[in-house]
Amino acid sequence: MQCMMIGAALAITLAFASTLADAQTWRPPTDEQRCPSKWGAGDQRGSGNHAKPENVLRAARLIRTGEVIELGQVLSADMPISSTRQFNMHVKRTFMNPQSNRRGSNEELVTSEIGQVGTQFDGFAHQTIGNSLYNCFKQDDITTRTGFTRLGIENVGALVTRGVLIDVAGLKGVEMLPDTYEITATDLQRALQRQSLSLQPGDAVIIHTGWGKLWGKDNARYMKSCPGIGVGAAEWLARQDPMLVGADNVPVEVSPNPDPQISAPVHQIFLVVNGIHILENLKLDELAAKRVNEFAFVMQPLKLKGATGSTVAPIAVR
Amino acid sequence: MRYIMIVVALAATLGSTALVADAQSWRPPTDGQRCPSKWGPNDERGSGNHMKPESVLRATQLIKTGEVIELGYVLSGSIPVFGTRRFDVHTKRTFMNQFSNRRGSNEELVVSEIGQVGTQLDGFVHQTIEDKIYNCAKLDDISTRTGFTKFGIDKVGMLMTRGVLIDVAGLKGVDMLPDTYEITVEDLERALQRQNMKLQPGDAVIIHTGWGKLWMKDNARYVKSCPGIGVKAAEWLAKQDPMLIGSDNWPVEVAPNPDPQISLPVHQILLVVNGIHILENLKLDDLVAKRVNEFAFVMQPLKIQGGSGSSVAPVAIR
Repeated sequence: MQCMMIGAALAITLAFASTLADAQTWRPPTDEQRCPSKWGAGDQRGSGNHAKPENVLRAARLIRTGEVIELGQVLSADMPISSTRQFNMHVKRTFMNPQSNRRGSNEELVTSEIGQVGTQFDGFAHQTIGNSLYNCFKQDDITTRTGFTRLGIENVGALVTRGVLIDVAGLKGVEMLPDTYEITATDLQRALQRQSLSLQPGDAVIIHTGWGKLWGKDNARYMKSCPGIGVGAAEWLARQDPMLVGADNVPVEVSPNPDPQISAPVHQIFLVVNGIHILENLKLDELAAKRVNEFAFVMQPLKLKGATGSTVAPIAVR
Repeated sequence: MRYIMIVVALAATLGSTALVADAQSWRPPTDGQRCPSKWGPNDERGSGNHMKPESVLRATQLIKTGEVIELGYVLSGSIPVFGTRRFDVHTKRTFMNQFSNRRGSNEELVVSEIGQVGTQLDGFVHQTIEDKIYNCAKLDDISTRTGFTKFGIDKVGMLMTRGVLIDVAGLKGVDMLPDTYEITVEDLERALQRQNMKLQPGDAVIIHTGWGKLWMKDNARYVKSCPGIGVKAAEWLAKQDPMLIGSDNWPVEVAPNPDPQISLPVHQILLVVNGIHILENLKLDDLVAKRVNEFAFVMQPLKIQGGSGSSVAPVAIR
């Protein structure tokens, strides 16, 4: 009897502790909870389904002066880069043709994780929960030596839509948010309120943290950590149904995550759970300085067959 | 006397041969004839100078339905490439993070002349006349192991302007022009007349030969030769002052040139002499099938520092 009571007490305690852990640590939903995607079983485009004539027209209406603001960083071997990734360029002054017009030719060999360097757009083959990707495609079923047979970045195409800058650094009155600051849903809502803007489904949502000031200036610090959205803000953004979420930092999200039990959970929330594209390492200094908060957003990912992402050179037009 | 007469006769014969050769073979202009560029002695942008708010607004006015037509091919190991160029993709299933959220990560290493494969924009360091490029910059002065210090493709930025399709295959009533057909000035003028259109300065001029039908179907024939514009058509087009000239073949121009003495002279006429960008390997089947002859042309070259060109994924929007 006493033994049973102790046993019951222990069981209750363990259950309670486990509930606490649940409340503290974000856990990915199960396959059943997240699949099929709201875009339908077998869908590979996720938030890319927002790329349609209506959104192109919505963007075109925002073009008034024709001014173009570049949002892509220059690609060079000097840029910040993750661990074993590389961007190596080898100039090939190839040859002088023997014909009378003396035509010489130059090119360059590039060795790089070209889908995952510089200003960079993530597709859905980039991240998993266990062996499972967006819409519960199984990693082992779609992987080949030369790319993924589903969810490849070549399926995306040009993205043209309304762009909205959410200036969180501006809201906080700082040039750059602190090193591991977690942007909350309240921060996003207050920043939008301050800008007198609301999000619409299919927007390209661009978050200004100011962290981009370190790009090419202090690459070690740029890579080591960064301010960015946390789990709560990501889940709120996912409900706003954007075409993509971008920021001027490495992973869009706060890094490392304040919860030491989990690694880059916002990558899973966007790419795997909700099928929402992520756009990283944006150059936002000019956009923020000119206070361009609403614009036509245009981006053309390379059509790399079966690839996890693409380096890109997106722009804002107003 | 007789000896002198023979010498004179011989000299006259040689002189006349030289004159005939001059009339037949195109020769690149001298530095004095072509420099400084009409855009100024220090200009690096050439026809890219047409990119300005006015060209963006001119293009935006052509967006009526919001329909996007992709003009770029998918990049894979199976595309036609030249000589030692390559496009190799190595899938990297990198790791499963050792955290409770079981986040797996994938990427790919690409080894490629990424500026010169697939649908592809040529910058001005790509081609020379002897040791000089556009605006008479000397190659030796601007070459490094990792790129060119001037005229790099990173300087171009997004190009958005009015696009005009010149359907020469359509004019001739064929799916595809013959293997080494030289498109003439008259062909271009008649095709434009048939379409009731005129070129304007700053246009993106896109020439349909039909040769793209061979892409990935018969790669060997695709790269062996092609129909395209010749010297005269190129010189006429340069006078129309376009932002760029593109086509659905690999060099834009007819190859090999009908004159066996010269190698790809149109590359020199456009890139080196006039500083006009070239856009190669366009995918034009959709555009032609839908008879879209006038459209907003949008292209975002990668910002490869000091690169000779960029693989691109341009679009037409109407």
